[in-house]
Amino acid sequence: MSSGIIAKSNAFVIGGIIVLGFVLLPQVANLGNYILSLLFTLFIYIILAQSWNLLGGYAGQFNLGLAAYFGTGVLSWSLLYFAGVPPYVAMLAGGVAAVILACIIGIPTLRLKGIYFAIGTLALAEALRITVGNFFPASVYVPPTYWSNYSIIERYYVGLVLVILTITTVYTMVNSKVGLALKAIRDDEDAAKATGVNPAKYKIFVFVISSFLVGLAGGAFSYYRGLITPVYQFLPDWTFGPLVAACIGGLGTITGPILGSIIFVLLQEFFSQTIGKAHFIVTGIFFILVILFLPRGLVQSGASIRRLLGRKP
Amino acid sequence: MRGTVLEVNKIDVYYGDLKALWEVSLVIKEGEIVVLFGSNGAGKSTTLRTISGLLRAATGSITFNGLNLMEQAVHRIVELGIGLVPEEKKIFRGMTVLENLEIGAFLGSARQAKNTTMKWVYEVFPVLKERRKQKAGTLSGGEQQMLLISRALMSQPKLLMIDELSFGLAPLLVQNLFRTMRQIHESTGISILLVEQNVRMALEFSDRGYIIENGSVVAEGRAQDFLNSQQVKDAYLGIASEE
Amino acid sequence: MIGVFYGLVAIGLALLFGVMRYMNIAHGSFIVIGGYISFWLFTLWRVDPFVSIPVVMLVMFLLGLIVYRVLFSQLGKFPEGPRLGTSMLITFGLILVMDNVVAFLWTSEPKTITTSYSGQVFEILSVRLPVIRLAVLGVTFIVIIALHLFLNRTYFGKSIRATAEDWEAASLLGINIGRTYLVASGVSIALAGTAGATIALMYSITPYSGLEWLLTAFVVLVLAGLGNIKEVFVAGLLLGLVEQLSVFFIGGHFRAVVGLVIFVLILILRPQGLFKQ
Repeated sequence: MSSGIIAKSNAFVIGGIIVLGFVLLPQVANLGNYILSLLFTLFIYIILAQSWNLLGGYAGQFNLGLAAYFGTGVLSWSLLYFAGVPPYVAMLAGGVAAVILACIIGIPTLRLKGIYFAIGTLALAEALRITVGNFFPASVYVPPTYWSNYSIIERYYVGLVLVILTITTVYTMVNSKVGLALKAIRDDEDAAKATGVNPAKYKIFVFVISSFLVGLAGGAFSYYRGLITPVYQFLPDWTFGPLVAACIGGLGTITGPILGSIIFVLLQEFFSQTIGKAHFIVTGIFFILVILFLPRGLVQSGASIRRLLGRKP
Repeated sequence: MRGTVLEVNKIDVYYGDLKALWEVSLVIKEGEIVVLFGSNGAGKSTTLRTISGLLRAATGSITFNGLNLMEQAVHRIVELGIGLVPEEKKIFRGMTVLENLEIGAFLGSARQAKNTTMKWVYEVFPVLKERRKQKAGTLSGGEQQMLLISRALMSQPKLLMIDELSFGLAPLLVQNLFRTMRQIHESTGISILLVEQNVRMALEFSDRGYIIENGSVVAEGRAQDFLNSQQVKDAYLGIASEE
Repeated sequence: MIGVFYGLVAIGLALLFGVMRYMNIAHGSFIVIGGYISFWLFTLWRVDPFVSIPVVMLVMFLLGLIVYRVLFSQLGKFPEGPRLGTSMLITFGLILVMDNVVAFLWTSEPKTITTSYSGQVFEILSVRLPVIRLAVLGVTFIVIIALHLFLNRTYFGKSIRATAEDWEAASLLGINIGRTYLVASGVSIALAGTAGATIALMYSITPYSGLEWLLTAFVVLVLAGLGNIKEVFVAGLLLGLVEQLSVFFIGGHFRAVVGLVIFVLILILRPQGLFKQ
């Protein structure tokens, strides 16, 4: 038992050091816009992957409509900010808007089980995307004054704060009775019900938290991006990317989505010069291989990887 | 002496990590009728399923007419001449009686003889001929059982294994079924391996029997001897006669 | 009515799911690939799209065999519980790969096939029927009849039906389940490709439009009842009808939205579909 506590406090220390590192990084090194942007994008993906993983990895409910909440966060932020609302307030509003959306279209779908839930959330997210596309233009003019005061470092720290917030939230939830309830639901929802766990309550709770975080991320993303392309953030890519990241890294873990997001973003950057979304080809193949041979994700597969490489676990 | 058709030699079978069979051995000779009986969950169905290929034995050997069955796929084992009517009574509900029988004769050789076999099946179970155009799901329990047996017979097996022939059927029906099975056996010389709850009727029908308890064979002998044994009467026939 | 065509879009997926209980969410991508093959044959060698349909079917059939060999057969080693979910994940990975290979080969610009008769219209009793749509309807009916004959009159077709109902019982009759699955995959993908070839004619295709067609197929599948095959075309008809009505009231832009929302409502209220299983 005590070794467990030591391991945990070790993890905390390491985590703390990493966080400190990220906080100090821009101060001590001149990273340049490219790296800072890349890191920001990474933070966003980590937030999305972690939030998705909360419902998908821990509770086993695959929400294929994540993009709807991300897009809502982005859109709300844009509308509010350019109407004069301060950026951070607008970001919070983005989160709230996502929660409102969750109550409207998310919670009703939570009655659906398994594959029906997945496709149902996807269907509604697509319906929303088409609707948004019908009401908003492809891109909206942004005044140049926006760029004159633009600080990438500020965005970086916003992203960092949100990532830390997300990871902390997820960590707290997972290690509380909520986490236990989620795993029970994932394994066997009916059995969970029989032991007094109310699946609906937990699913709703997690769904709301998850969509709030995603909405926040949407607001931050919009703050970062400036250019307003309303429909873009509603594209299913923004669901599938985090999903792939979480699965490759390891469903139902905290480090999994982080590792997966790093791989995903790196691959995306590496192939960004080629036509279309070619990075997805490599990611897709990698994804399939992981599902087939390391279904618990990279983070949890130390033994399997060693076996595949021919050594004893 | 009749030749040995099926030889199961000391098989161990696991469900995951759970051991279900311990060194089970049995022998079936050509044209014999053999019954496996024992308490519920003793491993009788597991034995049949392993012979048919639905389960794999971890150790031991299973040979049929000299051929090793251990690594064969289920459909190959059927091709070799073993048919199984499993415990879960599953006819193809969406297909008609006729289609069920036809699909029973899927295998090449059986397919050629399909019409002859079907005519014979209709003689044995006239009610199937009556209902041949009906959807199989509309048949009664007894009729479905007849369909299952007939469907298995359409593949022209040399050894027919039946798991719980009498399950859920009224006693009179069961009696009729056994009588019909005897007819079938006499006209075709097919070997039969039964797993059966109704021990008395099964023993009266069979040549030999094995008792399986807790995953092992605990007794083997001629059916007549079992019927006369006081132990068997107390342990198994008492239960059976309550039905 | 367009509805019957929706049945064609869905039937491949219905067959695959019905037989193997795998949800191939890359079905839409296969449809799109079929469309691109037809488009390619048309632009390269001026092959009439209807003439190229058999070619598309053959190529897609082979593709289906390959996909089974390489991917689907691997699913057998997973226990039954997670198998459906895993099949969705794997086919999702397939979407990523295939869609983007297509984008790489043909660019993301929408493509459509316009033949010399694309604009033509039949006039019967003052009703104007576009030629292309009629021809597609004809193709769909041919497919329906061929499929019906295959599944009901051939031994192999019947073995597919038997396997779909109860694979264990089927294997106990000597049916080679692996081979049945293999052929079913081929047929399923071939059907998807056929739908795609017609879509290239009637609409336009982009490498990423697979998702939209997958959703359509899935709506039809749920309406028909997951696992049912025969009811798919009727369900398609119903969907077509509902969409036409919604266009009448709400207008074209929201056609898909109405379909999707109704779909989700059905999922919540009557997930087993309109027909019995």
